Amino acid sequence: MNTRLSRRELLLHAASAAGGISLGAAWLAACSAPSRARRDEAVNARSARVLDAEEWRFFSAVQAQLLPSGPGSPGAREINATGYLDAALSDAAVDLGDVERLRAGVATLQERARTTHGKAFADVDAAQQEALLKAWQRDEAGEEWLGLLLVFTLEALLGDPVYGGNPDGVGWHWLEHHPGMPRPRQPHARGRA
Amino acid sequence: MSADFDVCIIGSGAGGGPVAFALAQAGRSVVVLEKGPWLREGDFSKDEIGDCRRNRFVTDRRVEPHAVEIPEDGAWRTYPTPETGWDFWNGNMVGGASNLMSGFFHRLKPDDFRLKSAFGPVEGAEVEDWPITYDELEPYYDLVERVVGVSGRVVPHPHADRRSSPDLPFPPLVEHPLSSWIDRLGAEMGLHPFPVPRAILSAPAHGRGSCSYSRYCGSYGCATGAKGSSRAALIQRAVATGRCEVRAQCMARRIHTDAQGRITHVEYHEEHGKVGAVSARVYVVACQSIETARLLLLSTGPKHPRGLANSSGQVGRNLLFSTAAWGRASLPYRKFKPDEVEALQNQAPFINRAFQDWYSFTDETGTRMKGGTLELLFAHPNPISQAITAAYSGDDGVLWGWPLKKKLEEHFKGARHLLFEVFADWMPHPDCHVTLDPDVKDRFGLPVARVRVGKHPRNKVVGTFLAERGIEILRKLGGEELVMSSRGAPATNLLAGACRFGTDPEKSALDRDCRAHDVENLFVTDGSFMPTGGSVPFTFTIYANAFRVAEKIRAQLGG
Repeated sequence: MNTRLSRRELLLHAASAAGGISLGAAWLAACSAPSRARRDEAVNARSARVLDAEEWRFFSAVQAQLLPSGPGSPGAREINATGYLDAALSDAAVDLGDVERLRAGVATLQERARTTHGKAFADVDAAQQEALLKAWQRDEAGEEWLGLLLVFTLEALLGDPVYGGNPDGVGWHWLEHHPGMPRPRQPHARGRA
Repeated sequence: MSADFDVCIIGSGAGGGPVAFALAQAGRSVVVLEKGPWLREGDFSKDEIGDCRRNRFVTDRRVEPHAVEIPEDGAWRTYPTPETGWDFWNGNMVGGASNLMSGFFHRLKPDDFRLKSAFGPVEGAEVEDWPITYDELEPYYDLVERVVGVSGRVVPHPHADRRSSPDLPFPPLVEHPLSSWIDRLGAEMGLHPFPVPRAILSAPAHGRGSCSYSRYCGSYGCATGAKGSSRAALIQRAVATGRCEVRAQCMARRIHTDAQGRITHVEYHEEHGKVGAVSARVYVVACQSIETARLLLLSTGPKHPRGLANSSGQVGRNLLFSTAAWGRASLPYRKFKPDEVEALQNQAPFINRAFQDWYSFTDETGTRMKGGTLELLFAHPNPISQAITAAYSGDDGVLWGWPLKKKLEEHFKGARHLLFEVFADWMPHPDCHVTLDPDVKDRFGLPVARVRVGKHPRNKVVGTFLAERGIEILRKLGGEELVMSSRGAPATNLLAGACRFGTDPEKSALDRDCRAHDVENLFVTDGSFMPTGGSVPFTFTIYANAFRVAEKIRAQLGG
């Protein structure tokens, strides 16, 4: 770890160390008084539901591409991937930088969909959606954004159902995973310091 | 002026727990300050999202960061940890990071106490012998095995420990069928895999339950009390004597000294910023190396202008990690016979096999050097973490869509995944140290610890040597998709050093009893005392040494 980690390394680091993901951005805000207040304000602003209706449609469409529903295997819809994402983004333990990065990606992809097909991403057909995502993945920014959204989607697939994804353990059942015991009785949300 | 307590211990982890336990048992009054919350068995579950991905058990580095110095273009550049992949917090709660350990309880070997004498100096590394020997620590390893509870079985092998008791006090945990495959392979290869002693109870004892084999262990708090954390094994029993008070969510901010240089009291922050104070006859600092150094450096006084215990300038110097190297492989079911597949699918969590055949070795130039321990285990069962690894296993960027679903099915339903971990000495290095950051402050306005991570090239040489042996073992077990990593990089969950003990007050911060050379009523009992770290995880040795030092403190208190 000679230098700052790339996005991809950060994700792998988080995966292998059983650690969490975190991405800069919030640090300056966290460490000086005036901007700390700004951070608190931002945290409170997203304490309710984070995604608006259009964003919800957008993320549902992208997550259905990332994890399609198939015969005998759950997809984004069956694991409540977008509902999970909405809840996760309102958790203060999730870095605000992640929220900002996800939002920035929405703008980019919606713009590409409108330029190419004249409609919102959620309204173009599935094959065109897939092509848009594949094209964007060739950019480093697209690769990182897809990785970030995929992590939240995999959390919805394989996290404990108390967090709102993986209803009835449908993801565990598909992949024949036996969860550890005891399971959490409630989701853990970090206090908004 | 009479003190509030006989002993004040700052930090309730592996360094603090033994002192609290031993002195409360001996009739002394003890207060323990702990910056994290006091969680009990009933608060722990196997919650990958909360516990691992949202880091429930560690301080939020966004409001209490560290600063990390890393080399870039020939200069040291400083970054606050939230801007990086680094996090030096390891478990901030009563019992500290020992709550989350895997509990591999290997003893150090006699040569670990005399690395310089046994292997000679290493150019560019500040290697020193310890002022005590293995034989002086051995009775305390034995004590920890009984008091904390270590399970396993001792088998004769060429690298076995010299022990005062013939076997471990608790029988081995249930082993996975793969363990016997490893034993057979070892015999074929002329190697000596041996059962790993674990700080996990295989039978109920001391009011704690035995292991429930619920698959997720390391990185999680133990819900049965079987894991020998400082909290379950020591602090809770110390509190039960009625003579030990734990003040949780209280972070020491400064240790005050008088004109003679003796400690008078400790000032601490309660959770909502209120400042409290407590006094004692003897003070013990055990906050894990980086935070211990930070607190000592913050605690300047009339006789201690450079910080406590720091007349020698040694506080913060020679920070140690363990050298991280690892490898992994998948054992795809298609390669095995039906009865073997059935064995592989067994859900028993523990393999419990390690190799110390290369604890020292001779390289191709004929130089004998210190090696390390190779531990074999299943890849951590955390499914989200496994799925992310699988998603990134391709060469063309992150997998998604149908290719991802196919990969997940192969990964979870078509194979078991094995891992080896290397534990090897981190060469003490003049550019691996802790100082106070001049700019970055924590949420209390205190300067944070700045950690410079300079690494000696020897770390990588040794890590790679061991990792190559590990890969060979995984391959011979039928492993495919072999991945190996050895970068000479630190395992930041394995911290020691930065407050050396030694006989020379000019070259060490602590004396052989881990008392500060220059502060008569101050002891340091976490891993900070180690001049070199050895080639096993540190927790067992920290426990043993803290029990040893507890006897010195008891003697100093008199009566």
